[in-house]
Formats: sequence, C-alpha cells, structure tokens
Amino acid sequence: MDANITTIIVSLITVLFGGGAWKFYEFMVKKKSEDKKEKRTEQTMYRDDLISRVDKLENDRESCNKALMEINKDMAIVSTKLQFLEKENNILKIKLQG
Amino acid sequence: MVRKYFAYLFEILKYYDVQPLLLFWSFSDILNNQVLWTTPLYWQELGQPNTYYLYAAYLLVSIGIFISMYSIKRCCMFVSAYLFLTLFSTIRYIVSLLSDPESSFDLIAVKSLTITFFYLFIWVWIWLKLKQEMLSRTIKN
Repeated sequence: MDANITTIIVSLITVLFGGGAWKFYEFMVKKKSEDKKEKRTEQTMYRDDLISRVDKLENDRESCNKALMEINKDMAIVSTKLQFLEKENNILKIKLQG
Repeated sequence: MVRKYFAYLFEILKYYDVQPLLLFWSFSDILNNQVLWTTPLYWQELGQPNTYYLYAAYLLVSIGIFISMYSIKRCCMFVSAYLFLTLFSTIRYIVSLLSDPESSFDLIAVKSLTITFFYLFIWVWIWLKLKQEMLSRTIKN
C-alpha cells in the first residue's frame, strides 16, 4: 500500500480513537458534575427542611414560655392565698382552743 | 527537594494557562515557516515536493491560531488542525522509516523520532488544556 494512504488511514484511526476517548472523558466529567449538583440540591433541601423545623420549634418554645409564665403567675397567687389561709386557720384554731 | 520541584512543575502543567505560550509559539511558527523562506522548486530538488504544501498548511493553521486567540473555541479548532498535521507528520515519518528499505533506526532517526514525539506530546497537551478549559466553562454555565 502507498505510504501516503497508510499514513492517512493511521492518522484517521488515531483521530477517531482520540476523539472517542475525549468524548468519553467529557461524558464522565459532565456526569460527575451533575451528580455533585444533584447531591448539593439534596443537601439544600435537607437544610431547608431543618430550617423550617427549627422555626416551628422556636415558635412552639415561645408559646410554651408564655404558658409557663402564666402558670408561674397563677402559682404565685395560689401560694400567697395559701399562706393567708394557713395564717387564718392557725388563728381560728387558737380561738377554738381558747 | 527534587521531589518538590517536580511536584511544582506538575502543578504548572496542570493549573497554568497555555495561551501566552500558544501566542508566542504561533508567532514564532509563522516566522520560521519554510514557505516564507523557500520555494516549491527547492523542495522538488530535494525530492519532497509535498513537504512544501505541508508547510503551507502549517502556516495557514499557525496564522489561524494567531488571529483566533480572542476566542477559545476557534483557537481550539485551529489547535486541533495543528495537532492533526503534527500527528500526520509523525505517522508519515514512522511509516517511511518502516517501509523504506534504505532508512534504518540509526541515531539520527532516533533523535528525529524523539523530537517529533516531543512536539506531538506538547500539542496533545495544549489541545487537552484548551478542551478542558472549554469543558469547565460549559459546566460552570
């Protein structure tokens, strides 16, 4: 076979294989990047979910704090009333004994 | 120390841009091109009339690289063409070495082969760098 034709054929085969190898590499890099993006999206979704849950829990904590304050206030009233009642009870007991 | 130096060289090859090298190279290639300094007759007398046209193709591609430096896509096309020409020359040389009964693997042939393969390797590397840059730009966008 003529040397020129051999050269052209070998060059074309090399170019085809080289091009194919590059296309494969390109596909792999693109796929890796897409996988990374997908993972990042999943992580973002998870983070957003966590943020909304923390928000909800913060709101619940606020209302629980308010309720606790109310209970503390009522408790203070009840204990004051109890102190007065105990004193009154003691006075009455003393009166009855006398 | 030596290991660190080679690691640094590897980092240069991996991370640094090739455009300045390409610019100077294409400019020097245009000026050194045999089409500017010889005639087709000179090559005919040497018994290699096609070599003149091969150099002409190199000249066109070098000019293409030089004027398309502003666009990586166009520049990459010309670099691909230059790589193809280098590949063609390398294969042509190997084929002539193998098929021509007069030629042999003497010291000159080995030296020429080494230089040819070195150039081929450099052009493959430049082509890969440009392609990789284009790919990373596509992925980023």
